Amino acid sequence: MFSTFYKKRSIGIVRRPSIFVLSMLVPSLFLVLLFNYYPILQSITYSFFKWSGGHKKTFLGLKNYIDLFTSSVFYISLYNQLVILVLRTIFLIVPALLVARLIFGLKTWAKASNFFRLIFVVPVVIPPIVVLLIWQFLLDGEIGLINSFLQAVSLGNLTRAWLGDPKTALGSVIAIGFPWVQGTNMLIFLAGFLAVDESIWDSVTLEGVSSLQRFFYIDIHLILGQLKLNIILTIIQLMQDFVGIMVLTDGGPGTATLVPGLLLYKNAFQYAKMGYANAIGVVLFVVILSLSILNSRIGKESNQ
Amino acid sequence: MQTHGVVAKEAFTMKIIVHKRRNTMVKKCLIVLLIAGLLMSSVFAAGSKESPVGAPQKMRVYAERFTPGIDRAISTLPPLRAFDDIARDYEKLFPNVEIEFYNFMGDHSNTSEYMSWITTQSIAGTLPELVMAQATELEGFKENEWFVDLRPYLEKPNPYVPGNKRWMDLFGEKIISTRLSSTGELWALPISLVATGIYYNKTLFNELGLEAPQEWEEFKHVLKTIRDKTDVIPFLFDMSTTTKASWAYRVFLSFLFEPLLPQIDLDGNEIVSTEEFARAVKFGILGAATPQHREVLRLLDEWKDYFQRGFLTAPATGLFNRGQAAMWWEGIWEYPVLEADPLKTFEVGTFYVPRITSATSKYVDDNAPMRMIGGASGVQLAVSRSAVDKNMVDQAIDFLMYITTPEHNGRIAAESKELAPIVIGAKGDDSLDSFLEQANNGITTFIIERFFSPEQINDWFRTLQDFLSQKISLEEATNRLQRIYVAAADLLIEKNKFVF
Amino acid sequence: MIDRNTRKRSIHSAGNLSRSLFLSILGILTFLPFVFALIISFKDIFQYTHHPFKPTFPLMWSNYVIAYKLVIKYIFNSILVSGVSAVFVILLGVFSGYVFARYDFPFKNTLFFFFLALMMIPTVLSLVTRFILVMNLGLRDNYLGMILPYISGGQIMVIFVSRTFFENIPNSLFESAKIDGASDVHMLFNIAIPLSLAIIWTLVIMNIISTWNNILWPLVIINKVELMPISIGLLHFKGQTQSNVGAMMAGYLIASIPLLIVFVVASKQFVRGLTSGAVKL
Repeated sequence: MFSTFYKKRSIGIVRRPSIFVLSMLVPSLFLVLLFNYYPILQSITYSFFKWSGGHKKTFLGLKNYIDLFTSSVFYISLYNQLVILVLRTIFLIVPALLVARLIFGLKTWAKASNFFRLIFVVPVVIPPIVVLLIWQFLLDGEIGLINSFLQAVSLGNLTRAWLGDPKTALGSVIAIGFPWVQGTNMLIFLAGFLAVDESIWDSVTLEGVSSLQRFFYIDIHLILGQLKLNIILTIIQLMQDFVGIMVLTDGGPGTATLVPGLLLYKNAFQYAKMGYANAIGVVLFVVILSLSILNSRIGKESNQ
Repeated sequence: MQTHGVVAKEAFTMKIIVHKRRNTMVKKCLIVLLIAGLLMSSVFAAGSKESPVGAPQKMRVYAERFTPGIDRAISTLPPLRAFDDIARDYEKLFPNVEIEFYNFMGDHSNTSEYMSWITTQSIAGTLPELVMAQATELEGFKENEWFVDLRPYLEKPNPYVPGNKRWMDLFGEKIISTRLSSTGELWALPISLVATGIYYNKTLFNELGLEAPQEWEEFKHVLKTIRDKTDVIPFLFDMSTTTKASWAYRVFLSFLFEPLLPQIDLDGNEIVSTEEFARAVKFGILGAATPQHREVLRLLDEWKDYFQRGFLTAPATGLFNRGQAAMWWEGIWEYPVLEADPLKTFEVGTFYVPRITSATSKYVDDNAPMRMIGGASGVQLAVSRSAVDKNMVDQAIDFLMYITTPEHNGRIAAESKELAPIVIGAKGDDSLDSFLEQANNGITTFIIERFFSPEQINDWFRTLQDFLSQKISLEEATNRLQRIYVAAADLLIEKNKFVF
Repeated sequence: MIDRNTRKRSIHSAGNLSRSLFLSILGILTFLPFVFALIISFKDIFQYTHHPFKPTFPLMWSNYVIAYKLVIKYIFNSILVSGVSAVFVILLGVFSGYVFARYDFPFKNTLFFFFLALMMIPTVLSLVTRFILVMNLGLRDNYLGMILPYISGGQIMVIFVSRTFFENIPNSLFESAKIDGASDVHMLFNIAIPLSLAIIWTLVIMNIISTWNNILWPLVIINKVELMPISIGLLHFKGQTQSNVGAMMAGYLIASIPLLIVFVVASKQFVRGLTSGAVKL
């Protein structure tokens, strides 16, 4: 019975679309080409120039790229971004998965499951600035609640200036938002669980599998699609977002929390080096494109 | 989503009927929304109407902290109005001019965000005619011709100050020189001075038998006493921005390098020009590789031990107000809030950054006064391309002259209480007199924003952070900083074609 | 009948209780920022400085008055812009996702990867070039200047997600509908969408959040105060020296009320979307 879930949906995909169907794509394509691709292509072009936003553009050939590849700061920012990507993805996925599974487990108790579902979705409304401000306070080296807590439980020697110490700054930035139950990720997982056939659950309980085993071997496979989806969505969001870091540490101390997005922003608007900033963007794009192509190749192989 | 084939099909056939109806409903709603949306948008279509000939010319001014009519942080204080009154008086002199105070909606303290606004509005030509911007940050736009170089206009007389032959004389060459670009242009006129001071907990000091220190060794004693005898943070200082870090750096640069001034300031005008700076660096007199600079780093390193933890990234606000820090170095804009705070439990006093003497370092000249830390980095107004497009440049400059008479400059600054007036002879608010005495000694001579590009300042800042967080050693920091000094000198030489 | 009885008893089973306990703990922690924001919203600048997190008295209702006056000016703009964007994002995104899911055409996968990689670049990269484009189209100071780029960017995520979901719908459903004579469009509206309603509502939530809180784009594209969305209006509090944090929090809380309404509705629809098409034993 499980084999039906593993087989890729190969039937029905290979169909030639009618003109009418293709025309459904047109508005999307048009908008994307105009408002996304056109500006990005221009940006790519300008990455070969010295440009500060106005009319004057000086052709530099590959100079921006050479400067970029010889700048250690860029590699540091890439490394930081990688660490953030790996760790924070785990943080934003696993608790959401756990909570979704628990809420799903409550499906016989409708009131509770509705209640908890709301509890975890509503905080999505909280504006990011509020969360940042609060966490900045929590992490404060002097009067932050985290340090106070550590002292209260006699772990006073563990207190740090969390955001001000280059050794802990990156980790602190990653840890923000505890317990990291991402509302929309949770909803997607929940949808996955709820969509699974009832009969599957019953047959599994009959066969005498323990809860933990069931979770790892079966639950996760059943929502593998949603898992992959959430991982990609989370990664996309993480790559884009540097405003939080900008507010908390501005990439510091030193370069401890510098990420490519922030580097790009500063170069474009603080140093008026827009051509160089565009080069950063292009390199990022190429890196990510290659990674996603690589990822899908590996995905295809492991699927069978 | 996987549903069991057979059963779902039944459910789905039943739903087709329901959905058909719902679909047409949905489609109708969407069409209505689309039309509504488009209608709305077209009502607010872009494109300002051309003002009819003979109508007053509008001059928009964005003056950041001095903007009249907006809510203030302490909600019980009324909005500012002095600037507005002055503008109305000006309009009486020039009936064809209408002055409108623009209120920038974003966060003007976030440099990148603010500069992205400046950039885009300049591209669109919609920047206010007079707009707040840090003069040293506009240099990168020189090639775009987005701002007017105000330096030449400073040579003209200011008609609103009787007897004035040169507008520049109202400010003083030294102050203005700190705002010039690497090639000598003035991209924005400062109309205020940033003044700073060290607020201290007088009550605590009295308890510990301490007095406000005048000199650095005294100061170290005070810091140490507070640390040894209490749980209170000795010195609260937010060093999370380049500006603040520059304040601290300036203190030491000033005292340690001023004795070398005769070797650096070759034309003897007490101003270190870009040429003199580049020369001094190239000849090894200025720069990180000097013994004086090593002292700078050493003293900074020593001092930071008394700061609050996390001083490299922003500290939580209120540590001083709550009595958890004994001293706090900040700008005078904090003073009104501190003064009005009904919940604080101690008396607040102020003193100025203590002088460094030869007791602290052998390179220091005991006769050197403590100069003013701060400078012309407060509100500065640039004349944007909008003024050029509207042929209003002369009018804008005239208005700038009007607001920089001692009387008007003093009025605007005194009402705001957040910044000091800059015009010689202008009087600020009485409560700030103790802060403003420092202005009498003139501004510090070595301000790196003058000589480093924004990117170099960033590199300098990162290196300092690495050094003060003990990630790199003093030697490593020295090496990195020296590279920056040399690069700065080289850039200046290249841009100005200096020859030594 | 036996099943019904056992199910009734199992509502308060040990398993459910332990789940509820765990969820409650996590829920409280997740809700904490909200609670803090509420507490801070009643403080004036002095109370906030001295006691950032403890409730302080007297409660500064004046913060809400200030915030309300500010929010009411801008909330309509936010609702219009985010609302219209969301509608079209879903429309266009679902249509395109359907096409990607069920049909094959040349360069399909390349195109897809390009879209995906595009999403990962920080949008600030093309801020200036996009600004110049929008300016040249005459859409500055115009609602469309915000809406159109939002639709363009937001739909990519919807295309991606809806494609995944549509691909997972058993082909047998489509086949049998075809036999019954259903057209492609019919299949989209009557099979694919109803079965994916839950996900679609989730996407609505995600899209509205991203456009609601967007600061940078409206900041550069809109000069007229009447058109500014709430995200910009609230920045007014932040830009000052010692910002009136209390009023800022009050502002954010008031501004999130329309969002809350949408999300509660979406959440309910989410469940309906799942239970309506599923099997009932």
